[in-house]
Amino acid sequence: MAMIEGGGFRCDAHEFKTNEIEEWNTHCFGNPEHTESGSTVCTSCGVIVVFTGLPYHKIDPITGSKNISLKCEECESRTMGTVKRTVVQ
Amino acid sequence: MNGQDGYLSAIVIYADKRKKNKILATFKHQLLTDAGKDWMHQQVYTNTAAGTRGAGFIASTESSITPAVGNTTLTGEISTNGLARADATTKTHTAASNSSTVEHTFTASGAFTSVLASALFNASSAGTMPHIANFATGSGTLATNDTLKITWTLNLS
Repeated sequence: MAMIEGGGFRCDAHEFKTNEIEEWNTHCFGNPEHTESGSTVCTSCGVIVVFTGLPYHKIDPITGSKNISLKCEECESRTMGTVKRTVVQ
Repeated sequence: MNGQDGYLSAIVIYADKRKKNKILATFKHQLLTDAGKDWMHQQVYTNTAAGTRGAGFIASTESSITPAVGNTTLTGEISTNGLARADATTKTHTAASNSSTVEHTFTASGAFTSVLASALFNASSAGTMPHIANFATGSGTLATNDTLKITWTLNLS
């Protein structure tokens, strides 16, 4: 298990505290109280995408990354449109 | 707030796929600077006007440094060839927790000898530097199109 030193991760809502990344991921993953809010860039066009209420994304225990990958609404709808057209044809 | 901990993680992904990715740091514990502590208190408690934006800018250096709480700048901060200070592409906070993540992937557009350390700032230039840390190991030589992914995990409670 990947351990970190110092204060570690803490959730007061569930009185949960840990210094293990995987344990923290397990606690938060799928828990509706531990959603993500913040910003990232659209993977298609690069505009800033602001998000709230995104399901918890696990922390990579090696790189620390959340690997959040989102598209903006415009690119998302364009993608959906492509899929629909493909289906119709 | 009874504690604040920052962790630095970083990985190099080489453009030459024959080379194995290099992990520079995995949740390396590091410093909250004095200036950062003052800034946080001002932002959260004492400001009477709107504060600054968050410390979501990531910088790095090839200089060999000894991080200290009195540091206010990152010695030898890289300013060219794709590794200049950048507004991190992803910043996220996990609700009902003490944890936030700030991460960015830099793509080298020139050669670097070895990237050794990183810091967070609250502005695209100058600004307050609340966190600073050495990587556990230097990147070694970076070439054009090699990428350096730096992730800061900030926990406070």
